[in-house]
Amino acid sequence: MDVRTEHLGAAMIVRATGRIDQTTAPAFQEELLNAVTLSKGQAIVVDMSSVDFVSSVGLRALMIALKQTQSGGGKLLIAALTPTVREVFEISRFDTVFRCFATVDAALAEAQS
Amino acid sequence: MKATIWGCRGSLPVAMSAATVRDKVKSALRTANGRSFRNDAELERFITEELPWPVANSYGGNSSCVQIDTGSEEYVLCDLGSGLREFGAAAIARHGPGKPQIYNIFLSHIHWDHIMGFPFFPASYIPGNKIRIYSCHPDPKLAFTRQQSAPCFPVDFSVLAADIEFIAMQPGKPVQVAGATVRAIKQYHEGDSFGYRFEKDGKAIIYSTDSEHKQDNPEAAALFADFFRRADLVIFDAQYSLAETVSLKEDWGHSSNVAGVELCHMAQAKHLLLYHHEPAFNDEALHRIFLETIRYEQLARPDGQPPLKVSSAFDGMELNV
Ligand SMILES: [Zn+2]
Ligand SMILES: [Zn+2]
Repeated sequence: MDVRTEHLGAAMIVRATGRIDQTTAPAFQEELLNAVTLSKGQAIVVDMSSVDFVSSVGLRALMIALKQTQSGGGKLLIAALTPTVREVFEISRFDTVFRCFATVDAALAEAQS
Repeated sequence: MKATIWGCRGSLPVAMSAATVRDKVKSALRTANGRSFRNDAELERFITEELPWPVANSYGGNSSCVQIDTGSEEYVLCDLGSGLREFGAAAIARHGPGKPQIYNIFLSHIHWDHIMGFPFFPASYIPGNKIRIYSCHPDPKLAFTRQQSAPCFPVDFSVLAADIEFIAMQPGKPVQVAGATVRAIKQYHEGDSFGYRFEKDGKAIIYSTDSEHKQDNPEAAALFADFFRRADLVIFDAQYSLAETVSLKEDWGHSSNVAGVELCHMAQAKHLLLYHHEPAFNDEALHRIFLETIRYEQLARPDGQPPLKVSSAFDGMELNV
C-alpha cells in the first residue's frame, strides 16, 4: 500500500494504491487525517482507483476522516472504486454513508460545486 | 458435539405476519407456474431445489437460545431467550414430565432478550429437575426474580419447584460440565456480556453474542482471535452492518458480519454462524446478508488460508461438529 496527497484546484486528492488492511490501514489513516488538517475546509477526494481491497480497519479510517471533515464544514468524497472495493462498500453498507463518484473528475466537479 | 439453534433473533422476538406468508405462497405458486407434483417427494424436491431459500423457509423469530449437545445425558444451553419455550417443550416430549433432568445454562448476560424464555420453561415448574445457571455476572438471580414477580408476571420466581442453582463463573477459570470444558471471555457490551468456548474430544464451539468488536483495538482483536482459535463453529453476533457499528450504532454493543469474517480468519476458525439477527430484517434481507458474507469471506481471505464456511442461523437449525 502506498498513499500520497496532492492539491488540485479547490480540492485535495488522497491517492492510495494496493491493499488497505490491518497492516497498512494505520498509514492510510494518518495520511487521510493529515489531509483533513491541511484541507482547512477544502473538499477532499479519495481516489480509490488503484486500491485492490479494503478491510474494516481501512473503512473505519475513512469514517473517522469523514466525521472530522464534516465537523469542519468540509466534504469528503470517494472516487473511482474498483469493482472489488465497490463490493466491499456495498456489503459493509459504507455505500450508504459515503458519497461515491464513478471518476475523480466527477468527484472534483462536485467538490467545486 | 452438536449445536441446535432454538432462537436466532436479537433484541426482540418477532413473528411472521399473514401478509408475509401470503407473499411467500404467491411467490412459490408463481415459480411453480401451474406444474403438478405426483407425490410428496417431488414436491419436497421442488421446494428445496427450485424455490429461493427465503421463499421456502424462514429464519424464525425467537430470541437467543442455543443447545450444545455434548453427548452427555445432561443438557447444556446458552441463554434463555424466547427460544427456550420450544426447547423445553421438546425436552418434555422426549422424556415425559416425570423423569427429572439436569439442565446446565451458560448466560451471556442478563438483558431481557436472553432470559425472557425462563418463565415459560416447563422444567422449572417440575420438582426433581436440576437447573444450574452459570454466569459471570455478580447477581444474575436479581434479573430472574424481577422478571418473575408482580406486577410483571403472575408466578413468582420463589415458587418454582425445580432445584435452581446460580453458579458463579470467571473468565480464565474453566469449568467441566456434561463432559465438556467450558471457558468464558468478557465482551464489550452495556453491562458486560460473556462469550463461551465449549471443548470436547478435540472439537470446539464458540458462543459469542452481544459483543461489539472495535476496529481500533488490535489487542482486543488478538484476544478474541485466541479465544476463537481453530474453533469448529463460531456463533457470532452479526446484528448490524459494519457501517452502522462505526457510525449511528457505535457503542450499542453489537457486531457485524464483516467483523465476524475477519476475526474468524485471524483465528483460523472453520465455520462462522451469523447470529442475533436484527428484528427489523425480513427473510429476504437476512438472506442477502448471508450471501454477502460468503462473498466477503472470499474477498478478505488471507492468501493460503483454507475457506471459512459461513452460515446464517435459523430457528431449528442443527449443526454437527
Ligand atoms: Zn441480545
Ligand atoms: Zn444485550
